[in-house]
Amino acid sequence: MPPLLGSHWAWKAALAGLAAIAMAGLIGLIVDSPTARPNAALDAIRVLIVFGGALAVGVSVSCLPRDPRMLAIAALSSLAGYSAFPPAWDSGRMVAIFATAFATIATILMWLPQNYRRLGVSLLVLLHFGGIVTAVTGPGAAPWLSSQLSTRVYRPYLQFIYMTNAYHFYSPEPGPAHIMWFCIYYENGDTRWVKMPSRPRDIQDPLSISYYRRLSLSEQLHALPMNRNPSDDVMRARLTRIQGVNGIPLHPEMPIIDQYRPLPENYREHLLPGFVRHVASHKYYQHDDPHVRIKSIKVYYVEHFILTPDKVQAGAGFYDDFTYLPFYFGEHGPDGELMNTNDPLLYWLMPIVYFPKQGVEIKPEETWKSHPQKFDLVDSVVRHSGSDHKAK
Amino acid sequence: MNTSFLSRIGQNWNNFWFKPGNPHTLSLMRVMAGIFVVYLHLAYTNDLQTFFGEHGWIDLKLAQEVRNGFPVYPPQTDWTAPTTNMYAPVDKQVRTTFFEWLRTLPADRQKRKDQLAFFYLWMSAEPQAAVDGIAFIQRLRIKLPEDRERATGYEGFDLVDPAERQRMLEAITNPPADPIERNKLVPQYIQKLDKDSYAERVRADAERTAASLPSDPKKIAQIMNHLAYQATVRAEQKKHSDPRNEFERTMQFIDEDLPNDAVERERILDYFGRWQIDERKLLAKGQNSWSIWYHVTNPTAMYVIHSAFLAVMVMFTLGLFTRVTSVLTWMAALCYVHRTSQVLFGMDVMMNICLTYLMFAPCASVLSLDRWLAVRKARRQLEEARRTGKDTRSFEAILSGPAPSVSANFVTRLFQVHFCFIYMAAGLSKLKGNAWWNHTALWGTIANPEFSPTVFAPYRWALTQLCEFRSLWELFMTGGVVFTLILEIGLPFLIWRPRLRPYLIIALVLFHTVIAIFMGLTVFGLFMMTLGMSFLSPEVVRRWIDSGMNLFSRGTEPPAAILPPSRVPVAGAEKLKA
Repeated sequence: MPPLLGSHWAWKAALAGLAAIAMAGLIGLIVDSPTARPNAALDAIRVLIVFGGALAVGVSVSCLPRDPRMLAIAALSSLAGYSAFPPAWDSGRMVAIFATAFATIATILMWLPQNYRRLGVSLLVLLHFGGIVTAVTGPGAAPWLSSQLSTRVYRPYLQFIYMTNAYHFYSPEPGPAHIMWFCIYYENGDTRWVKMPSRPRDIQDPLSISYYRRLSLSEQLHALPMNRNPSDDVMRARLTRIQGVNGIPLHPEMPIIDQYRPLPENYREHLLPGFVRHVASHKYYQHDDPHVRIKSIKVYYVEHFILTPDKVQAGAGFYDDFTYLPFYFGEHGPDGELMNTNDPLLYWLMPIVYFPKQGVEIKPEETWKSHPQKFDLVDSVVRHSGSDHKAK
Repeated sequence: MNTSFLSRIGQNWNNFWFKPGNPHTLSLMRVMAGIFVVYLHLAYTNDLQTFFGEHGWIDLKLAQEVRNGFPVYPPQTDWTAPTTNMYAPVDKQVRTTFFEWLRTLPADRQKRKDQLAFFYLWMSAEPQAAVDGIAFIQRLRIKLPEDRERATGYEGFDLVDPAERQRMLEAITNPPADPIERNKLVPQYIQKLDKDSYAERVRADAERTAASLPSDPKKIAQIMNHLAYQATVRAEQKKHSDPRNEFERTMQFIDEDLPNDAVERERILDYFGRWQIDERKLLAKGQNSWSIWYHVTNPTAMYVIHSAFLAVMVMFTLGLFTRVTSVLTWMAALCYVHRTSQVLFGMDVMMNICLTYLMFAPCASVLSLDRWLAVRKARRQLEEARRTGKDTRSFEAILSGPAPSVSANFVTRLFQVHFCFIYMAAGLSKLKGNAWWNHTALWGTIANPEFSPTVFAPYRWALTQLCEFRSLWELFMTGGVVFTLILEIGLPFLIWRPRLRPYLIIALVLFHTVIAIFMGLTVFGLFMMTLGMSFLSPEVVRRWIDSGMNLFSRGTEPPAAILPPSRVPVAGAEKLKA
C-alpha cells in the first residue's frame, strides 16, 4: 500500500493537524467556563476543526505508522482534542481520552527495541483476551473474579470498543419471539393499531435486516423479574375482572403465575415510555385530521409462541390467533407516562383462546380446528381495548 | 520447570504470534466484511430517523439518560450484603411526591432531625406500632369525608382543620378518660410513655412533623402510605447497627445521607428519583458509549453524515486509502452501534470484531485499489529509474507482490483466537439449557414464526411433514443438536490440527448456511463465515484469487496487483533473475 503522503508532507500535515486541534482546544479553555452561554456556531466550528485536524494527523500516522515521534504527535493531538471538543460533545471527549491512551501506548511500544515491543504486545494481547473472558463468563451467575475484573477493570475498555457480548447464542435455550402492539386512542374516539415488527411491512431490504432490527428492539422489553408471584391484592383485583360480559378470562392452559409478567423498574420507567413517546410523536401514527391529537396509547407485549410438533401435526398454524400471548403493559400518555399504576389488569395476559360454545357437547377428539362451529374465539385484547386489532 | 522448557514456550509463543505471514486471507476477509458492512449500513438509510433520530424508538432523551446515568453497582469484595439502599416508592407519582417532600426538609441536619423527631421516635418500634404512629401524623393532617368508610387510593382525602388537630394533639398531654376514645385518638405506644416526662415533647414533635408535610391531601396520603408500608418491610440485619425495617432505613437516609448542600441534595435526589439508587453507593454512572448521533440530530445533517459514512465504507471495501478508511469505517460503524445498541443482533457483534482487527492488518495488500495504484506507480517509477540509472530494487519489490509481514500473521491469530472464544462460549452456554439436552432446541429455532421462514408455504409444509413422523422428527432434531454441540465445543480444539482443519471449515460453512437460511440470520451467518475464513491458509486464498482473476481476465494477463510474484510482468525481470 503506498502511503498517501510522502514523509515530508506527512510531517507537515501532522503538525498542521496538531496545531489546528490545539487552537480549538485553546478556544475551549477560554470559552468553556461553567457560566458561559453555549454558542452553537462556535461549537460547530470547533468540532469541524477537530475533525479536520484529526483526519490530518490520522493520515500522517498512516504514512509513518512505525515512527514513535509521529505517534507522539497523535497522542498530543488526542489530548488537545479533549478540550477542543465543546462540552456538549462529551462523547467526542471520550473518544479523545481513549485515543490519547491508545496513541501513548503505541508510542511507547514503537520506541522500545523489538524484543521488548513483542513482550509489550504479548501483554496487551493477554489483557485483551482476559477482557473477552470476563465478557464471556459475565451473564447470569458470574464467577466472583470475573465480575470484579469486568466491572472494575475492563468495563470502560470493553464498552468503548463494544466487545461486551458473551456469545451465548440461543442459550440456555431458544425461546419465542416478542412483538409489541400499540393501540392508539385519539381525542375524537378513533383508534388505530400499530404492530411492531410486522411482516412484510417492515421488510425493506432483501435480507430483511430492517425487520430483524425491529424484532431486536421489541425483544428488549423481554425481561422476567426474579420474583413475579402476584401479591394477594394483585391476584384479587385480577380475578374480579374475569366476570361480566366483557370479562377477561384467565388462560385455561397456562399456570396463573405465568400469566402475570410485571416489568422490572428500568424497563418500566425508561425503555417502555421511550417506545410510547416514539409512537406518539411519529408522523405516520398521527390522526388524518391534524387537529385531532393522540390521547393515550395502550401497550400489549405479545409473545408469539413456538408451536409444539404435536400441535403442528394436529393442524395448528404458526400464525393462528391463539399463538399470540398478549400481556397488557398499561395505558400511557403521549409523554410515555403510565396513566394508571393501579390498573388491575396491568402486566396480566389478555388471552386469545378458543372456548367451547355454551351448551354444546364437545367430544374428547374434537378440537377447535376439527369442529370450529362448536367453539368461540375469545379475543381478550379486543374486549380490553374496545378495538379490533386485526382490522386493517 | 527448566529453562529450556520456558524458552520453548517463549519460542512457540513467538512463532504463533510474531512469525511473518501472508496477507491474502486478510485481504479477502476485508472485501467480504466490507460488502456486508456496506449492506448493513445501506439498510439503515430508510430507518435513520427511526433508529437514530431525536424521536426514534430509542429517543435521544432515553439514550442520553442511559448513557449518562445507567447505574454500575460495585461487586462485593467481602461477605457483606450487596449495596443497600433506601427503598424509593415504586409508583412514579408517589416517588415524585416523596422526593419533593425530601427536598423541602431543612438543610441543616439537626433541624431536619428536630422536624421529623416524631418519626425518629417510632422508627425502632414494632411494625404495627410504627404504622400507628405514622397514621397518627396522617390523621393530624388529612381525613376521609364522613360518608366514606375507607380509602381506596390516594384520592378523596380532606384537610383536617386546625381546631381538630389541636384536639388530637391535646389528647397526647391530656388523654381522654374514656379508654375507647383514648385509643382512638392516641396511639398505644404513646400511651405507654411516661406522661409527665415525655408527653409535652411528643406533642411538640408530632406538631412539627405534621407541619413538614405538603399541603395537598393527596400528596400527604402518598407519603404516609409509603412510610407506613416501609415500616412493615423487615430489613436484613448483618450488624446490630443495621436498620431493622425499611422505615428505619429511610429515616437513617434522611438523617445521615441527605446532603445539607442544596445543589448536592438536588443532584442526589434527582438521580435517586430516576434510578432508585443513591449515586454515592455506585461504582460509576453511565456507559462508555460514544456516537456522533448523540450530537447531530438535524435530519438533513444526519443524512449528509450517513452518506459520508457509506462512502468511507465503500472505499474500505474497495481497498482505497485503506489505512485511513479502515479506522474511519470502524468509527462510523460504532457510531450506529453505540447510539442504539437495542437494535443490534449477533451480526453487529461479528461486524465489530472484523472491523476492529482489520484496522491493524495489512488488509489491502491484494484485491484492493491501493495495491493497483501502488503497482501502477511502481511500474512508472521503475521505468523512470531504469532510464535514469537509479536503484530499482524498491520498485521491483513492490511489483513482486505483498511481502509476508508480522502484522498479517498477528491479526490473523487475533481473529482465530477470538473465533475460538466465540464458539466455545456459544457451545458451553448451550449446555445449561434443557432443550439442548433433550434435543428439542433445534425445533425452537427452525419453527420460530418470527425468525424462521415459516411465512413461506413450502417451508411450513416441510415442517408439517416432518411432524407427521415422530421418529424422523426426533432423528432430525437429534442430528442437528449433536452436530451443533460437537462443532461449537470441538472446533476450538480441533481446528488447530492441520489435517482436520479443512473438514471443520466445511462443517462451519454448512452450519452457518443452515443458520442463515432456517433462522433468518443471513448476515450473521455471512459474518461468521468471514471470521472463520481466518483459518484458511493464505496460500490457498492466493491460489483462489489467482484462479478467480484468471477467469475474470478471460485469458488476458491479469493485473499485477493480484499476480503471484513469479508472474508479475516486470520489465527486465529476466535480467534481474540472471
